[in-house]
Amino acid sequence: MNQQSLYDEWEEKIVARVTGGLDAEERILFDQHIESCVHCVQELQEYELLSHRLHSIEKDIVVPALSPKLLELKQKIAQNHIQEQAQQVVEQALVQEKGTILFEEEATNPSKIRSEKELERKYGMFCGNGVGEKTLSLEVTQPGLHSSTAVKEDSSESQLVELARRGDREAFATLYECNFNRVYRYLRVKIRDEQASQDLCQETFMRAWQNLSQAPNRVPNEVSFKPWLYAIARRIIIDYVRQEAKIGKSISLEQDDVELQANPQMQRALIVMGPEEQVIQRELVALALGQIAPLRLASLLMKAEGFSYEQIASRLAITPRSARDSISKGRKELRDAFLSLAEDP
Amino acid sequence: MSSEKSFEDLVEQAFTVGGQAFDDLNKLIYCFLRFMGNHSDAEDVTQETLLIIWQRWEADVRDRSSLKPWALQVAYHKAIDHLRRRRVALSLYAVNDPDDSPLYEFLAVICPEELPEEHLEQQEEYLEQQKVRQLIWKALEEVPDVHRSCLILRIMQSIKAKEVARLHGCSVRQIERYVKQGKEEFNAALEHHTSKLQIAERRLGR
Repeated sequence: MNQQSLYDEWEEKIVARVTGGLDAEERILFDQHIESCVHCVQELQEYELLSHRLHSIEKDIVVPALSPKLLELKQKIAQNHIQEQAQQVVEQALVQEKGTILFEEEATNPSKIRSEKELERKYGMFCGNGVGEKTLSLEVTQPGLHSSTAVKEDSSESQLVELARRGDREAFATLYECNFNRVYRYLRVKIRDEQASQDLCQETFMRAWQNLSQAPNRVPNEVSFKPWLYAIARRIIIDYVRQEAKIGKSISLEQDDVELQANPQMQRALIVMGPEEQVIQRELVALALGQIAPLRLASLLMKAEGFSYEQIASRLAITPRSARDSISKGRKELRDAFLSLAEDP
Repeated sequence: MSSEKSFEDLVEQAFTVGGQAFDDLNKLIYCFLRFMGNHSDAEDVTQETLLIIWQRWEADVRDRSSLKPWALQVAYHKAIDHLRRRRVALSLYAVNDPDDSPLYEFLAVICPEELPEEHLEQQEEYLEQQKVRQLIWKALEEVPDVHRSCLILRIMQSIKAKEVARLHGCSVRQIERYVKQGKEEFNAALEHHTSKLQIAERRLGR
Protein backbone atom coordinates (compact mmCIF):
# COMPACT_ATOMS: atom_id res chain seq x y z
CA MET A 1 0.00 0.00 0.00
CA ASN A 2 2.78 2.31 0.96
CA GLN A 3 4.57 1.35 -2.20
CA GLN A 4 1.45 2.21 -4.19
CA SER A 5 1.10 5.74 -2.81
CA LEU A 6 4.76 6.30 -3.55
CA TYR A 7 4.11 5.43 -7.16
CA ASP A 8 1.17 7.81 -7.25
CA GLU A 9 3.40 10.63 -6.20
CA TRP A 10 5.86 9.92 -8.95
CA GLU A 11 3.17 9.34 -11.49
CA GLU A 12 2.12 12.97 -11.28
CA LYS A 13 5.70 13.86 -12.05
CA ILE A 14 5.79 11.42 -14.95
CA VAL A 15 2.86 13.10 -16.66
CA ALA A 16 4.37 16.49 -15.98
CA ARG A 17 7.69 15.26 -17.40
CA VAL A 18 6.02 14.09 -20.60
CA THR A 19 4.11 17.34 -21.06
CA GLY A 20 7.09 19.48 -20.14
CA GLY A 21 5.68 20.77 -16.86
CA LEU A 22 8.78 20.20 -14.74
CA ASP A 23 11.33 22.90 -14.18
CA ALA A 24 15.04 22.21 -14.43
CA GLU A 25 15.50 21.39 -10.76
CA GLU A 26 12.58 18.98 -10.64
CA ARG A 27 13.78 17.34 -13.82
CA ILE A 28 17.16 16.58 -12.30
CA LEU A 29 15.48 15.04 -9.25
CA PHE A 30 13.17 13.06 -11.48
CA ASP A 31 15.98 11.75 -13.65
CA GLN A 32 17.85 10.69 -10.53
CA HIS A 33 14.83 8.82 -9.28
CA ILE A 34 14.16 7.10 -12.55
CA GLU A 35 17.61 5.56 -12.64
CA SER A 36 16.72 3.43 -9.66
CA CYS A 37 13.03 2.79 -10.23
CA VAL A 38 12.00 0.19 -12.79
CA HIS A 39 8.32 0.87 -12.28
CA CYS A 40 8.65 4.55 -13.11
CA VAL A 41 10.75 3.86 -16.20
CA GLN A 42 8.03 1.61 -17.47
CA GLU A 43 5.36 4.18 -16.72
CA LEU A 44 7.34 6.93 -18.38
CA GLN A 45 7.72 4.86 -21.50
CA GLU A 46 4.01 4.16 -21.54
CA TYR A 47 3.14 7.82 -21.24
CA GLU A 48 5.65 8.77 -23.89
CA LEU A 49 4.14 6.24 -26.25
CA LEU A 50 0.67 7.53 -25.43
CA SER A 51 1.75 11.10 -26.04
CA HIS A 52 3.37 10.07 -29.32
CA ARG A 53 0.26 8.22 -30.44
CA LEU A 54 -2.08 11.03 -29.55
CA HIS A 55 0.11 13.59 -31.26
CA SER A 56 0.31 11.44 -34.36
CA ILE A 57 -3.41 11.83 -34.95
CA GLU A 58 -3.33 15.54 -34.26
CA LYS A 59 -2.17 16.19 -37.80
CA ASP A 60 -5.35 14.57 -39.11
CA ILE A 61 -7.13 17.68 -38.01
CA VAL A 62 -6.95 20.62 -40.31
CA VAL A 63 -7.95 23.75 -38.50
CA PRO A 64 -10.12 25.84 -40.81
CA ALA A 65 -9.39 29.49 -41.37
CA LEU A 66 -11.11 31.88 -38.99
CA SER A 67 -14.73 32.52 -39.81
CA PRO A 68 -15.60 36.11 -40.78
CA LYS A 69 -17.09 36.75 -37.36
CA LEU A 70 -13.98 35.56 -35.55
CA LEU A 71 -11.73 37.39 -37.97
CA GLU A 72 -13.61 40.55 -37.17
CA LEU A 73 -13.22 39.86 -33.45
CA LYS A 74 -9.51 39.20 -33.85
CA GLN A 75 -8.99 42.45 -35.70
CA LYS A 76 -10.99 44.33 -33.12
CA ILE A 77 -8.84 42.92 -30.34
CA ALA A 78 -5.64 43.76 -32.20
CA GLN A 79 -6.86 47.30 -32.76
CA ASN A 80 -7.82 47.72 -29.12
CA HIS A 81 -4.38 46.52 -28.17
CA ILE A 82 -2.64 48.95 -30.48
CA GLN A 83 -4.67 51.81 -29.11
CA GLU A 84 -4.00 50.77 -25.55
CA GLN A 85 -0.28 50.65 -26.20
CA ALA A 86 -0.28 54.00 -27.92
CA GLN A 87 -2.33 55.44 -25.11
CA GLN A 88 0.11 54.13 -22.56
CA VAL A 89 3.04 55.71 -24.32
CA VAL A 90 1.28 59.03 -24.62
CA GLU A 91 0.04 58.90 -21.06
CA GLN A 92 3.50 58.15 -19.74
CA ALA A 93 4.89 61.10 -21.62
CA LEU A 94 2.13 63.37 -20.44
CA VAL A 95 2.04 62.26 -16.83
CA GLN A 96 5.74 62.93 -16.47
CA GLU A 97 5.25 66.50 -17.48
CA LYS A 98 1.91 67.13 -15.87
CA GLY A 99 3.35 69.65 -13.48
CA THR A 100 4.21 72.08 -16.22
CA ILE A 101 4.48 75.59 -15.03
CA LEU A 102 2.42 78.17 -16.71
CA PHE A 103 4.68 81.08 -17.28
CA GLU A 104 3.52 84.50 -16.37
CA GLU A 105 4.29 85.76 -19.78
CA GLU A 106 2.24 83.11 -21.44
CA ALA A 107 -0.67 83.76 -19.13
CA THR A 108 -0.88 87.27 -20.49
CA ASN A 109 -0.97 85.97 -24.01
CA PRO A 110 -3.93 83.64 -24.41
CA SER A 111 -3.12 82.80 -28.01
CA LYS A 112 -0.17 80.81 -26.81
CA ILE A 113 -2.20 78.53 -24.63
CA ARG A 114 -3.79 75.76 -26.53
CA SER A 115 -7.30 75.29 -25.27
CA GLU A 116 -7.96 72.19 -23.26
CA LYS A 117 -10.86 71.34 -25.50
CA GLU A 118 -8.74 71.37 -28.58
CA LEU A 119 -6.19 69.17 -26.94
CA GLU A 120 -8.84 66.78 -25.80
CA ARG A 121 -10.33 66.60 -29.23
CA LYS A 122 -7.02 65.76 -30.83
CA TYR A 123 -6.12 63.36 -28.10
CA GLY A 124 -9.49 61.66 -28.31
CA MET A 125 -9.15 61.32 -32.04
CA PHE A 126 -5.82 59.71 -31.58
CA CYS A 127 -6.77 57.26 -28.92
CA GLY A 128 -10.19 56.25 -30.11
CA ASN A 129 -13.38 56.21 -28.12
CA GLY A 130 -13.69 56.15 -24.39
CA VAL A 131 -10.52 58.06 -23.78
CA GLY A 132 -12.09 61.47 -23.70
CA GLU A 133 -12.86 61.13 -20.04
CA LYS A 134 -9.18 61.35 -19.26
CA THR A 135 -8.91 65.09 -19.38
CA LEU A 136 -5.60 66.67 -19.91
CA SER A 137 -4.84 69.61 -17.78
CA LEU A 138 -1.86 70.71 -19.71
CA GLU A 139 -0.93 74.15 -20.78
CA VAL A 140 1.43 74.00 -23.63
CA THR A 141 3.21 76.63 -25.58
CA GLN A 142 3.91 76.26 -29.22
CA PRO A 143 7.42 76.40 -30.53
CA GLY A 144 8.35 78.99 -33.06
CA LEU A 145 5.25 80.97 -32.30
CA HIS A 146 7.27 84.08 -31.96
CA SER A 147 9.06 83.66 -35.22
CA SER A 148 5.99 84.71 -37.20
CA THR A 149 5.33 87.77 -35.10
CA ALA A 150 9.01 88.55 -34.93
CA VAL A 151 9.19 88.92 -38.70
CA LYS A 152 6.47 91.50 -38.58
CA GLU A 153 8.15 93.27 -35.71
CA ASP A 154 11.58 93.28 -37.34
CA SER A 155 10.82 96.18 -39.66
CA SER A 156 9.68 98.39 -36.84
CA GLU A 157 12.32 97.24 -34.42
CA SER A 158 14.75 99.91 -35.51
CA GLN A 159 12.14 102.56 -34.84
CA LEU A 160 11.31 101.03 -31.48
CA VAL A 161 14.98 101.01 -30.49
CA GLU A 162 15.20 104.61 -31.58
CA LEU A 163 12.15 105.51 -29.47
CA ALA A 164 13.39 103.53 -26.50
CA ARG A 165 16.68 105.33 -26.71
CA ARG A 166 14.80 108.56 -26.20
CA GLY A 167 13.12 107.09 -23.16
CA ASP A 168 9.86 105.75 -24.58
CA ARG A 169 8.70 103.15 -22.08
CA GLU A 170 6.05 101.69 -24.33
CA ALA A 171 8.47 101.15 -27.16
CA PHE A 172 10.74 99.29 -24.83
CA ALA A 173 7.81 97.26 -23.56
CA THR A 174 7.15 96.10 -27.10
CA LEU A 175 10.80 95.21 -27.57
CA TYR A 176 10.64 93.34 -24.29
CA GLU A 177 7.64 91.35 -25.40
CA CYS A 178 9.16 90.47 -28.73
CA ASN A 179 12.48 89.38 -27.36
CA PHE A 180 11.69 87.98 -23.99
CA ASN A 181 11.24 84.40 -25.18
CA ARG A 182 14.37 84.48 -27.26
CA VAL A 183 16.52 85.71 -24.42
CA TYR A 184 14.78 83.45 -21.96
CA ARG A 185 15.50 80.38 -24.09
CA TYR A 186 19.10 81.40 -24.43
CA LEU A 187 19.44 81.73 -20.69
CA ARG A 188 17.46 78.64 -20.04
CA VAL A 189 19.82 76.56 -22.17
CA LYS A 190 22.88 77.93 -20.49
CA ILE A 191 21.54 77.71 -16.99
CA ARG A 192 19.65 74.55 -16.27
CA ASP A 193 17.56 76.30 -13.67
CA GLU A 194 14.14 77.55 -14.58
CA GLN A 195 13.68 80.03 -11.77
CA ALA A 196 17.14 81.49 -12.13
CA SER A 197 16.87 81.94 -15.87
CA GLN A 198 13.57 83.77 -15.47
CA ASP A 199 15.17 86.09 -12.96
CA LEU A 200 18.21 86.61 -15.14
CA CYS A 201 16.02 87.34 -18.11
CA GLN A 202 14.34 90.10 -16.18
CA GLU A 203 17.71 91.37 -15.18
CA THR A 204 18.94 91.38 -18.77
CA PHE A 205 16.10 93.63 -19.80
CA MET A 206 16.61 95.81 -16.77
CA ARG A 207 20.21 96.33 -17.72
CA ALA A 208 19.27 96.88 -21.36
CA TRP A 209 16.81 99.55 -20.30
CA GLN A 210 19.34 101.21 -18.05
CA ASN A 211 21.92 101.24 -20.81
CA LEU A 212 19.42 102.55 -23.33
CA SER A 213 18.18 105.37 -21.20
CA GLN A 214 21.39 106.30 -19.39
CA ALA A 215 23.99 105.92 -22.09
CA PRO A 216 22.21 106.01 -25.44
CA ASN A 217 25.46 106.36 -27.34
CA ARG A 218 26.74 103.02 -26.23
CA VAL A 219 23.66 101.31 -27.56
CA PRO A 220 24.17 99.98 -31.08
CA ASN A 221 21.88 100.61 -34.00
CA GLU A 222 18.87 98.53 -34.91
CA VAL A 223 20.73 95.86 -36.88
CA SER A 224 22.66 94.66 -33.92
CA PHE A 225 20.05 95.13 -31.24
CA LYS A 226 19.50 91.43 -30.69
CA PRO A 227 23.17 90.47 -30.54
CA TRP A 228 23.62 93.31 -28.12
CA LEU A 229 20.84 91.87 -25.98
CA TYR A 230 22.53 88.48 -26.11
CA ALA A 231 25.80 90.09 -25.13
CA ILE A 232 24.14 91.54 -22.07
CA ALA A 233 22.62 88.20 -21.26
CA ARG A 234 25.99 86.57 -21.62
CA ARG A 235 27.62 88.98 -19.23
CA ILE A 236 24.81 88.37 -16.79
CA ILE A 237 25.33 84.66 -17.04
CA ILE A 238 29.02 85.11 -16.34
CA ASP A 239 28.17 87.11 -13.26
CA TYR A 240 25.71 84.47 -12.22
CA VAL A 241 28.22 81.69 -12.76
CA ARG A 242 30.77 83.47 -10.61
CA GLN A 243 28.24 83.79 -7.86
CA GLU A 244 27.05 80.24 -8.11
CA ALA A 245 30.56 78.82 -8.31
CA LYS A 246 30.87 79.51 -4.62
CA ILE A 247 27.83 77.41 -3.90
CA GLY A 248 29.01 74.67 -6.21
CA LYS A 249 26.53 74.74 -9.06
CA SER A 250 28.10 73.99 -12.41
CA ILE A 251 27.05 75.71 -15.57
CA SER A 252 28.33 75.00 -19.00
CA LEU A 253 29.46 77.92 -21.10
CA GLU A 254 31.01 75.82 -23.78
CA GLN A 255 28.53 76.60 -26.50
CA ASP A 256 29.44 79.65 -28.44
CA ASP A 257 26.46 81.95 -28.49
CA VAL A 258 27.34 83.29 -31.93
CA GLU A 259 27.23 79.81 -33.33
CA LEU A 260 24.01 79.22 -31.49
CA GLN A 261 22.44 82.23 -33.12
CA ALA A 262 23.68 81.41 -36.57
CA ASN A 263 22.53 77.81 -36.59
CA PRO A 264 18.78 77.41 -36.23
CA GLN A 265 19.04 73.63 -36.15
CA MET A 266 21.40 73.77 -33.25
CA GLN A 267 19.16 76.27 -31.60
CA ARG A 268 16.27 73.90 -31.91
CA ALA A 269 18.29 70.99 -30.60
CA LEU A 270 19.31 73.02 -27.59
CA ILE A 271 15.91 74.45 -26.92
CA VAL A 272 14.60 70.94 -26.47
CA MET A 273 16.42 70.83 -23.17
CA GLY A 274 13.87 72.99 -21.35
CA PRO A 275 10.93 71.20 -19.71
CA GLU A 276 8.32 73.28 -21.47
CA GLU A 277 9.85 72.44 -24.81
CA GLN A 278 9.94 68.83 -23.81
CA VAL A 279 6.22 68.96 -23.24
CA ILE A 280 5.76 70.56 -26.61
CA GLN A 281 7.84 67.93 -28.24
CA ARG A 282 6.02 65.12 -26.53
CA GLU A 283 2.72 66.63 -27.45
CA LEU A 284 3.84 66.90 -31.06
CA VAL A 285 5.12 63.33 -31.04
CA ALA A 286 1.76 62.19 -29.68
CA LEU A 287 -0.07 64.06 -32.41
CA ALA A 288 2.32 62.76 -35.03
CA LEU A 289 1.80 59.21 -33.74
CA GLY A 290 -1.90 59.69 -34.31
CA GLN A 291 -1.31 60.21 -38.00
CA ILE A 292 0.41 56.87 -38.55
CA ALA A 293 -1.44 53.83 -39.87
CA PRO A 294 -2.39 51.48 -36.98
CA LEU A 295 -0.25 48.53 -38.01
CA ARG A 296 2.82 50.69 -38.52
CA LEU A 297 2.17 52.44 -35.25
CA ALA A 298 1.92 49.12 -33.46
CA SER A 299 5.15 47.80 -34.91
CA LEU A 300 6.88 51.07 -34.23
CA LEU A 301 5.80 51.16 -30.60
CA MET A 302 6.76 47.54 -30.09
CA LYS A 303 10.15 48.19 -31.66
CA ALA A 304 10.59 51.12 -29.32
CA GLU A 305 9.87 48.82 -26.40
CA GLY A 306 12.69 46.56 -27.46
CA PHE A 307 10.91 43.74 -29.26
CA SER A 308 12.71 42.03 -32.11
CA TYR A 309 11.31 41.96 -35.62
CA GLU A 310 10.39 38.31 -35.18
CA GLN A 311 8.56 38.97 -31.94
CA ILE A 312 6.67 41.86 -33.47
CA ALA A 313 5.80 39.76 -36.49
CA SER A 314 4.42 36.94 -34.40
CA ARG A 315 2.41 39.26 -32.14
CA LEU A 316 0.87 41.10 -35.05
CA ALA A 317 0.45 38.01 -37.20
CA ILE A 318 2.57 39.36 -40.03
CA THR A 319 5.88 38.27 -41.55
CA PRO A 320 9.16 39.60 -40.10
CA ARG A 321 9.85 41.18 -43.44
CA SER A 322 6.67 43.19 -43.40
CA ALA A 323 7.29 44.08 -39.76
CA ARG A 324 10.63 45.54 -40.81
CA ASP A 325 9.01 47.36 -43.69
CA SER A 326 6.21 48.79 -41.63
CA ILE A 327 8.68 49.97 -39.00
CA SER A 328 10.85 51.79 -41.50
CA LYS A 329 7.81 53.29 -43.21
CA GLY A 330 6.32 54.14 -39.85
CA ARG A 331 9.53 55.90 -38.84
CA LYS A 332 9.50 57.97 -41.98
CA GLU A 333 5.85 58.81 -41.51
CA LEU A 334 6.45 59.79 -37.92
CA ARG A 335 9.40 61.98 -38.85
CA ASP A 336 7.48 63.73 -41.62
CA ALA A 337 4.41 64.19 -39.49
CA PHE A 338 6.47 65.53 -36.62
CA LEU A 339 8.39 67.98 -38.78
CA SER A 340 5.29 69.29 -40.49
CA LEU A 341 3.61 69.70 -37.12
CA ALA A 342 6.66 71.43 -35.66
CA GLU A 343 6.84 73.89 -38.52
CA ASP A 344 3.13 74.58 -38.59
CA PRO A 345 1.68 73.93 -35.16
CA MET B 1 11.17 27.13 -19.18
CA SER B 2 8.10 25.03 -18.71
CA SER B 3 6.34 24.06 -21.90
CA GLU B 4 3.14 23.24 -20.06
CA LYS B 5 0.55 25.67 -21.24
CA SER B 6 -1.90 27.63 -19.21
CA PHE B 7 -5.27 27.90 -20.85
CA GLU B 8 -6.06 30.96 -18.77
CA ASP B 9 -2.97 32.81 -19.90
CA LEU B 10 -3.81 31.92 -23.46
CA VAL B 11 -7.32 33.32 -23.08
CA GLU B 12 -5.94 36.50 -21.61
CA GLN B 13 -3.35 36.87 -24.35
CA ALA B 14 -5.87 36.13 -27.06
CA PHE B 15 -8.35 38.68 -25.78
CA THR B 16 -5.96 41.45 -24.92
CA VAL B 17 -3.23 41.18 -27.55
CA GLY B 18 -4.98 39.11 -30.20
CA GLY B 19 -2.83 38.09 -33.15
CA GLN B 20 -1.09 34.75 -32.84
CA ALA B 21 -2.56 34.01 -29.42
CA PHE B 22 -6.05 34.34 -30.82
CA ASP B 23 -5.24 31.84 -33.58
CA ASP B 24 -3.73 29.50 -31.02
CA LEU B 25 -6.81 29.65 -28.84
CA ASN B 26 -9.02 29.03 -31.85
CA LYS B 27 -6.88 26.05 -32.83
CA LEU B 28 -6.84 24.63 -29.32
CA ILE B 29 -10.59 24.80 -28.92
CA TYR B 30 -11.19 23.48 -32.40
CA CYS B 31 -8.86 20.51 -31.87
CA PHE B 32 -10.38 19.82 -28.48
CA LEU B 33 -13.86 19.73 -29.96
CA ARG B 34 -12.72 17.42 -32.71
CA PHE B 35 -11.12 15.03 -30.28
CA MET B 36 -14.21 15.14 -28.16
CA GLY B 37 -16.17 13.88 -31.13
CA ASN B 38 -17.65 16.96 -32.78
CA HIS B 39 -16.70 16.69 -36.31
CA SER B 40 -19.04 18.35 -38.76
CA ASP B 41 -19.93 21.34 -36.63
CA ALA B 42 -16.67 21.85 -34.74
CA GLU B 43 -16.05 25.08 -36.60
CA ASP B 44 -19.39 26.52 -35.63
CA VAL B 45 -19.06 25.41 -32.04
CA THR B 46 -15.57 26.93 -31.85
CA GLN B 47 -16.95 30.22 -33.04
CA GLU B 48 -19.84 30.00 -30.63
CA THR B 49 -17.51 29.22 -27.74
CA LEU B 50 -15.10 32.02 -28.53
CA LEU B 51 -17.87 34.55 -28.92
CA ILE B 52 -19.46 33.54 -25.62
CA ILE B 53 -16.16 33.89 -23.81
CA TRP B 54 -15.51 37.22 -25.50
CA GLN B 55 -18.90 38.60 -24.52
CA ARG B 56 -18.31 37.76 -20.90
CA TRP B 57 -14.77 39.07 -21.18
CA GLU B 58 -15.86 42.39 -22.53
CA ALA B 59 -18.82 42.79 -20.21
CA ASP B 60 -16.99 41.86 -17.04
CA VAL B 61 -13.98 44.10 -17.22
CA ARG B 62 -13.46 44.23 -13.48
CA ASP B 63 -13.51 40.56 -12.69
CA ARG B 64 -11.59 38.84 -15.41
CA SER B 65 -9.59 36.66 -13.09
CA SER B 66 -12.64 34.60 -12.19
CA LEU B 67 -13.62 34.45 -15.81
CA LYS B 68 -10.55 32.64 -17.03
CA PRO B 69 -11.18 29.26 -15.38
CA TRP B 70 -14.74 29.53 -16.59
CA ALA B 71 -13.59 29.86 -20.20
CA LEU B 72 -12.29 26.30 -20.40
CA GLN B 73 -15.53 25.03 -18.95
CA VAL B 74 -17.49 26.75 -21.71
CA ALA B 75 -15.49 24.85 -24.29
CA TYR B 76 -15.89 21.57 -22.43
CA HIS B 77 -19.63 21.89 -21.93
CA LYS B 78 -20.11 22.92 -25.53
CA ALA B 79 -18.28 19.77 -26.58
CA ILE B 80 -20.31 17.55 -24.27
CA ASP B 81 -23.59 19.19 -25.34
CA HIS B 82 -23.00 18.45 -28.95
CA LEU B 83 -21.78 15.00 -28.19
CA ARG B 84 -24.96 14.15 -26.35
CA ARG B 85 -27.13 15.46 -29.12
CA ARG B 86 -25.13 13.44 -31.59
CA ARG B 87 -25.35 10.29 -29.55
CA VAL B 88 -29.13 10.40 -29.62
CA ALA B 89 -29.08 10.86 -33.36
CA LEU B 90 -26.59 8.05 -33.81
CA SER B 91 -28.44 5.61 -31.63
CA LEU B 92 -31.43 6.10 -33.91
CA TYR B 93 -29.75 5.91 -37.27
CA ALA B 94 -26.63 3.88 -36.78
CA VAL B 95 -28.16 0.74 -35.39
CA ASN B 96 -27.15 -1.32 -38.38
CA ASP B 97 -23.57 -0.23 -38.36
CA PRO B 98 -22.16 0.07 -34.88
CA ASP B 99 -18.72 0.86 -36.26
CA ASP B 100 -19.93 4.07 -37.85
CA SER B 101 -19.18 6.53 -35.12
CA PRO B 102 -18.51 10.25 -35.30
CA LEU B 103 -14.79 10.01 -34.70
CA TYR B 104 -14.35 7.19 -37.11
CA GLU B 105 -16.46 8.28 -40.02
CA PHE B 106 -14.58 11.42 -40.83
CA LEU B 107 -11.33 9.56 -41.27
CA ALA B 108 -12.48 8.75 -44.76
CA VAL B 109 -12.59 12.48 -45.37
CA ILE B 110 -9.31 13.41 -43.79
CA CYS B 111 -7.24 10.52 -45.14
CA PRO B 112 -7.74 10.23 -48.87
CA GLU B 113 -6.51 6.81 -49.87
CA GLU B 114 -5.26 7.87 -53.26
CA LEU B 115 -1.61 8.60 -53.78
CA PRO B 116 0.39 8.80 -57.01
CA GLU B 117 1.13 5.27 -58.21
CA GLU B 118 4.81 5.81 -58.84
CA HIS B 119 5.46 5.95 -55.10
CA LEU B 120 4.29 2.47 -54.36
CA GLU B 121 6.56 1.97 -51.39
CA GLN B 122 5.61 5.28 -49.91
CA GLN B 123 2.02 4.49 -50.55
CA GLU B 124 2.27 1.31 -48.57
CA GLU B 125 4.00 3.11 -45.77
CA TYR B 126 1.41 5.81 -45.88
CA LEU B 127 -1.41 3.32 -45.77
CA GLU B 128 0.22 1.58 -42.86
CA GLN B 129 0.49 4.86 -40.98
CA GLN B 130 -3.05 5.68 -41.85
CA LYS B 131 -4.21 2.36 -40.52
CA VAL B 132 -2.41 2.96 -37.25
CA ARG B 133 -3.93 6.42 -36.98
CA GLN B 134 -7.36 5.04 -37.64
CA LEU B 135 -6.87 2.56 -34.83
CA ILE B 136 -5.77 5.35 -32.50
CA TRP B 137 -8.83 7.39 -33.35
CA LYS B 138 -11.04 4.41 -32.74
CA ALA B 139 -9.39 3.56 -29.46
CA LEU B 140 -9.56 7.16 -28.31
CA GLU B 141 -13.24 7.24 -29.02
CA GLU B 142 -13.85 4.38 -26.66
CA VAL B 143 -12.32 6.19 -23.73
CA PRO B 144 -15.10 7.74 -21.59
CA ASP B 145 -15.63 11.47 -22.09
CA VAL B 146 -14.21 12.64 -18.80
CA HIS B 147 -11.10 10.52 -19.15
CA ARG B 148 -10.73 11.45 -22.77
CA SER B 149 -10.95 15.16 -22.07
CA CYS B 150 -8.20 14.72 -19.47
CA LEU B 151 -6.02 12.82 -21.92
CA ILE B 152 -6.46 15.46 -24.60
CA LEU B 153 -6.02 18.51 -22.42
CA ARG B 154 -3.26 17.09 -20.27
CA ILE B 155 -1.19 14.90 -22.58
CA MET B 156 -1.92 16.28 -26.01
CA GLN B 157 -2.42 19.98 -25.37
CA SER B 158 -0.19 20.15 -22.28
CA ILE B 159 -2.65 22.22 -20.26
CA LYS B 160 -1.69 22.59 -16.60
CA ALA B 161 -3.09 19.91 -14.30
CA LYS B 162 -4.45 22.59 -11.97
CA GLU B 163 -6.64 24.04 -14.67
CA VAL B 164 -7.91 20.69 -15.87
CA ALA B 165 -8.77 19.92 -12.24
CA ARG B 166 -10.74 23.13 -11.97
CA LEU B 167 -12.61 22.27 -15.14
CA HIS B 168 -13.82 19.00 -13.70
CA GLY B 169 -14.23 20.38 -10.23
CA CYS B 170 -11.90 17.91 -8.60
CA SER B 171 -8.39 17.67 -7.23
CA VAL B 172 -5.18 17.53 -9.22
CA ARG B 173 -4.71 14.05 -7.80
CA GLN B 174 -8.02 13.00 -9.26
CA ILE B 175 -7.03 14.32 -12.67
CA GLU B 176 -3.86 12.26 -12.55
CA ARG B 177 -6.00 9.25 -11.77
CA TYR B 178 -8.30 10.07 -14.67
CA VAL B 179 -5.32 10.36 -16.95
CA LYS B 180 -4.00 7.05 -15.75
CA GLN B 181 -7.37 5.36 -16.18
CA GLY B 182 -7.77 6.97 -19.57
CA LYS B 183 -4.37 5.73 -20.59
CA GLU B 184 -5.18 2.18 -19.57
CA GLU B 185 -8.55 2.26 -21.27
CA PHE B 186 -6.99 3.69 -24.38
CA ASN B 187 -4.25 1.05 -24.45
CA ALA B 188 -6.75 -1.74 -23.92
CA ALA B 189 -8.99 -0.44 -26.70
CA LEU B 190 -6.04 -0.02 -29.03
CA GLU B 191 -4.87 -3.53 -28.36
CA HIS B 192 -8.35 -4.86 -28.91
CA HIS B 193 -8.75 -3.11 -32.24
CA THR B 194 -5.28 -4.04 -33.40
CA SER B 195 -5.86 -7.71 -32.77
CA LYS B 196 -9.29 -7.49 -34.42
CA LEU B 197 -7.72 -5.91 -37.47
CA GLN B 198 -4.99 -8.53 -37.60
CA ILE B 199 -7.53 -11.34 -37.51
CA ALA B 200 -9.55 -9.67 -40.25
CA GLU B 201 -6.47 -9.16 -42.39
CA ARG B 202 -5.39 -12.75 -41.96
CA ARG B 203 -8.81 -13.94 -42.99
CA LEU B 204 -8.83 -11.70 -46.04
CA GLY B 205 -5.20 -12.05 -47.12
CA ARG B 206 -4.03 -15.62 -46.80
